[in-house]
Amino acid sequence: MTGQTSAIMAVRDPDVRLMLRVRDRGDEAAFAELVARFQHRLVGILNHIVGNKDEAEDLAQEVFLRVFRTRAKYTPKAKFSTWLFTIANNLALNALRDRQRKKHLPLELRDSGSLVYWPHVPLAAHRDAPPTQNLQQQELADVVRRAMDDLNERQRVAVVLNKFEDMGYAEIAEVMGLTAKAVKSLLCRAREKLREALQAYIYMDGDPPAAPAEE
Amino acid sequence: MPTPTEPELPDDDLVAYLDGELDAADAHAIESKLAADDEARQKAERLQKTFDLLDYLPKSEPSPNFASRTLTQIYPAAEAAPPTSSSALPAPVVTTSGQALPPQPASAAGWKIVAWAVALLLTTGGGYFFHLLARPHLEKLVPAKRASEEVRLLERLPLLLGADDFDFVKQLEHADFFAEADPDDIGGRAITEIWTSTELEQMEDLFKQFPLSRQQQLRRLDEELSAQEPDRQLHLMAVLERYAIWLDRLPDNYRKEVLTAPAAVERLDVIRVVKSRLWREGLPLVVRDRIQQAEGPARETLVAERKQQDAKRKLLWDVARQDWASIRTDRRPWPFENEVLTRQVEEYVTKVLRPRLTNAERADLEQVRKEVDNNPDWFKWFLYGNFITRLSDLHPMYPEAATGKVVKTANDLPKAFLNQMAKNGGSARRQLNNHPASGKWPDFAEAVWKEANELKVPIPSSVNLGPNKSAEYVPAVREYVENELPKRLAKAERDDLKKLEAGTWPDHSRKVIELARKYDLTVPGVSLPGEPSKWDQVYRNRGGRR
Repeated sequence: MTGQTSAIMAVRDPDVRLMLRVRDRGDEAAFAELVARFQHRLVGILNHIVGNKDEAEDLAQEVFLRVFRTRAKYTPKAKFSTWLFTIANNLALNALRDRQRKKHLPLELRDSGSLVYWPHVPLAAHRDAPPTQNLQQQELADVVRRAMDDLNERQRVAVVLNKFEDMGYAEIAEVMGLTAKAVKSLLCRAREKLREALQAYIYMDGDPPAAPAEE
Repeated sequence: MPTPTEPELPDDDLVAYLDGELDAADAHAIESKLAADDEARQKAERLQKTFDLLDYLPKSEPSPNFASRTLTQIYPAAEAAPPTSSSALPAPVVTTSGQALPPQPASAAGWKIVAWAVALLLTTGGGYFFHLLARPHLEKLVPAKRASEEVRLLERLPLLLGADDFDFVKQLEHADFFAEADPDDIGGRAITEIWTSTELEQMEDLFKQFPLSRQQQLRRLDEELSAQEPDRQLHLMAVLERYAIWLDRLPDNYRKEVLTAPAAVERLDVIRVVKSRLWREGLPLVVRDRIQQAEGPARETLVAERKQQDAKRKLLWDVARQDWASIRTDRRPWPFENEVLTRQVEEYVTKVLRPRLTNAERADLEQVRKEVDNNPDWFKWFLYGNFITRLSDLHPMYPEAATGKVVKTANDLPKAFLNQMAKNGGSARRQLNNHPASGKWPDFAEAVWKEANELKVPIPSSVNLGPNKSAEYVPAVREYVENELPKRLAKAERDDLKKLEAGTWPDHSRKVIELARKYDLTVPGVSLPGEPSKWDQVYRNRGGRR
């Protein structure tokens, strides 16, 4: 898509229009509307990335503040959400790096790409355990969380955007400042890693474990 | 183990395949590989299933005061109260500063219209743009002090350039002109809010070239446009935009013909002629000859047939172009890919929409639905979705009354009122009994309300056309109006809505529906289930997607 086409398309996006009202008129109602519209998605995504709800909220708030502060520089290129998640991506990665610096994680953990301090039990140990049938939902959530934390930060962001925002490779590439090709291999490695970590928790020929209840 | 002739699947492609990111050829290659190779298939399944496990991650919602905390940080004075109106803000109008915006790469998003407008300025010998040659009369606008109206006018100028006045714009809305989006159109910028300061200055220079009378005409047009309801405004801007894009793409001599017409009426004639000329020129030679040779009514029939064919082809082509990905994988179009939503839509159709249709519409609906059952492919579902969208637009629903008899037939109306209506030139009781909407609410009530208003016959308070306050609505709507909707509204909007409760039907109901649309909400039992913006996007405004 050419720059012109995407800018033209962008103006069809109601969120872009709201943002333009914020940019051009400092429109408070429009900004409030954007916060209302995106708070759920943003907090949800950031929580999946940083693995901590309070921190996710703080970051989401920072994202909105950043949106407001840099409103004058806003140029609609694609969907508004792409821009929003670009800011979120930068802030989340910074936060994770800060955390890493503060925690002084042992070298082997840093090497594994994990940025969250977590009592490190190798997941492979579970492989011989019986499959997940009896595993409580909470335990399963913990296991999945841990597998996510074992991805490196970029892999995790890409996976979260792909899975929970349903973003295609091109859009993820835009958010993360990568090429679509780089996203493709990033996601491939991430998925492969998740497969290794979670292999023991899936059924291959029976029914999968009961889906979690909504909310 | 992979043999030398069957190399191991490149994993990048396997994952990309699972993500639906491969083109047809690559996807096909993976599919063949998967069909032939058990191990690869198992690997794919594992990859997919482990990815599905991510659904177990706890979902988190922002705390209830998240939005207000965030807004308070930004607008400390506003406290946690929801913003009242945009105009109350002291925030700067960024585009007016002349410097606040970063310079843009050589106007990638610029309008060519400006170029031809300027070209015309130099070449046209007379007529519409003759005045462009005149000396500038506009008082010097100091960029830093531009009022927001000025900015708005300048931003819209490219769309207004080819228009005379508000009446002209309303004419353009006609089906002969630019009512419908051209499916080949990639869509433009109906709201021209993305000008850089440099572009604004260009616009200003252009505007200053106009004689005072044309400047005033443009200002008036801009003001009249701005005085419209937001939806209406958006619609008219879209019409203007289509017109501007059309002009922009015209061969130079045709465009000159349009622009140099002496006044609005002649201009509309020229547009009509140019449009049909273009249409004819676009026909295959054989067809063109056949039309050329035919005479009188035969010729008209040929033209009409051809146009109908074109319209049909355009719709299909438009649909195919925009939804190719989901058609190829034979997914269903929104909302039918979602089982829960499909059920809700079907229930809405059966309980809310169907009873109010005419017999012919009902038969058509049944036919379209039957075709889905016979052959549930993407297109059939799309046509069904398209049809119910049209029907629901034709038969707008209002919130129903919890109790009490509402007006459904002429028998529900007092005799004195009917007599007065008949006396003022309206329908008599007998005609009303045969009214196509008779027996149907709110269709009948709305017809009565419209006619009474037109004939200026006051509606007696004993006539209950419909509920007009939240307490009178059915529980689901009441709950929605009292608890759901207010959360999204600004204070001014909540107050407005409250005030309308003292008025008469359908003012309050209409406001509820209007606000729901504005905030993309569904009024239970009233609007089609699912976000209104999605219905718009998928079924109403084709042509402008993605």
